[in-house]
Amino acid sequence: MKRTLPELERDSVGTTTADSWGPRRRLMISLLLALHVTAIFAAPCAYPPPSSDLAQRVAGWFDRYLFAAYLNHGYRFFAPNPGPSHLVRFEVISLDGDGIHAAGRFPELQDHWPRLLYHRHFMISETMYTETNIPLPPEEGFASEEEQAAFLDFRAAARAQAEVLLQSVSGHLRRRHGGGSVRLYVQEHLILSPLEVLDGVPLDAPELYRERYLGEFDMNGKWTWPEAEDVGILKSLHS
Amino acid sequence: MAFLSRYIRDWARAAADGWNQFWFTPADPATLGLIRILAGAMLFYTHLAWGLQLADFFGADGWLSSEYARQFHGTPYAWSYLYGIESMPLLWALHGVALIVFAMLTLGLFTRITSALGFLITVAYAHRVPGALFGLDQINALLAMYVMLGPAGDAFSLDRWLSSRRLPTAAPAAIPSVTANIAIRLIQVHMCIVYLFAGCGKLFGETWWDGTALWGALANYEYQSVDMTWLAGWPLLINLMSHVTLAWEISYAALVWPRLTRPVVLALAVPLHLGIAVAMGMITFGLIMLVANLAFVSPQLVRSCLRAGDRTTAGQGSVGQLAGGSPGGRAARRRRR
Repeated sequence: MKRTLPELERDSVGTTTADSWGPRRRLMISLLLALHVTAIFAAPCAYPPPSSDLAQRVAGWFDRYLFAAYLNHGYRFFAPNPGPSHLVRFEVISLDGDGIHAAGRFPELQDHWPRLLYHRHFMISETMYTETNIPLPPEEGFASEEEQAAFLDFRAAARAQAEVLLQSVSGHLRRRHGGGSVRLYVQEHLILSPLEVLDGVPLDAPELYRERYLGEFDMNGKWTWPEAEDVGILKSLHS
Repeated sequence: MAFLSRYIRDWARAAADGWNQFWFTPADPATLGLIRILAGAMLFYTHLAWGLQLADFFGADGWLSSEYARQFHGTPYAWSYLYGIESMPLLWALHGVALIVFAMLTLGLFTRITSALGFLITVAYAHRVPGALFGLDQINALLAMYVMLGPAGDAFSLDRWLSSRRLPTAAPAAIPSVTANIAIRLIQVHMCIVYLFAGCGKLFGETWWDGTALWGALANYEYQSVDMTWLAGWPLLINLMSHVTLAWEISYAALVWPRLTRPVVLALAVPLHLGIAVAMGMITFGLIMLVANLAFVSPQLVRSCLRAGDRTTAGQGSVGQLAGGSPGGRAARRRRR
């Protein structure tokens, strides 16, 4: 007899009990399931700020499990807002230091195929923006010496982590292109409003790009940051 | 007082019955088998693509050094056997093994072993290149984990086909099992968590409230793969799409369970994820989200659809056999015992 879709849907879970489990086994598996579900719920509660102390503490109990199984995610896709893209421009200086040996930008659709690999490069440039977007000291100063010390510690740690990434990317670019020191710049590509699009402005208009100099990777593998006041400020490329 | 204690006792019993029914009712492994094929194929493709630039991503001189990866995670529990590999021949050998494992998983060959290896390989690759990942990798890993936990080789697999050749007189179909149900339930629950937090995270953003968020995604030059800027002349349509997306994500965890609303929720997943796939160039991410949504499709419906497909290729026979119509397999052996 032919069955309708809702009838098939009603049968979504089997009704035979050929493989039914005893109470002790069910209890043990129930405990494991409860722990697992708690862990995968606690992770997105805790990981992207803001989050409560409670959420962080509960996720902390499961940290080892969440990391080991690669379950430590926030799942905040396109949140809080779909924002501008971030790209990375690079210059490899010639060995004699006189000119630019190679230059480019990533991600580039023409260079990266298939689309999945383009996306991988896109994620690297986004990560570089995030890692180097280190807050500047507040203009109004600090309320206390402790607050200043805590901020400077945080900033030093953030810079140290970013430096490892920048050295790794610069080293890769130098090995790929040859040449000497490497300069990196992060670019932000702003999004047009619907009215600007209706006015005929193209999505890749030069005035939509802003840039920040990240620093230089020298021949000895040392990373040099730009002057402190430059870090964190994106400057328009369109004069 | 007696009434209250009886009420609490009845409530507790009903809750325990509900819990048992939810997790421990045996289920046909057909849906899990289909998810194994599709997630396995995506894992194979994901890693095949890594192979096109293996040295650039996983080599000693790659974009992201092992030192950075370790520092990014900040914990030794984010393990990977790919940290610090300097020999390219070794890296290629490991990558070859990974591709073979994913191919075998997709086909359902030695599924118990290949599903466990598949999960470990997926996690090892993800941990090695933390700055190059996105949603695809998260969903890949969770599906690999749950495919590993359930009897994913009990349906639509070479394992099953080989068993049927060895034991031609055994049982006619795969036996429903509790582990198949648990694996599917875990995918379902995890997807509810994914959508709930994806939706809740958007509530912080003003563009999801003023209805312009979808424009921000579609007019992003770096994501764009199909020009959707003609929507600039249709602001109310952009508003509607933004609001529906947000409402769908937030309500998914509640509305995907009742039979009345489940088809609507799943039907909406198709344009949403295909839209991401086609318009924003994230084909892999859009498809893997749809694969994960299959967890809410009943095994009977899966078998029914595949039998319908099988009828269109009548005489060739293979799909019907792999769908569990053939005798034998582990289920038959279990019965005989």
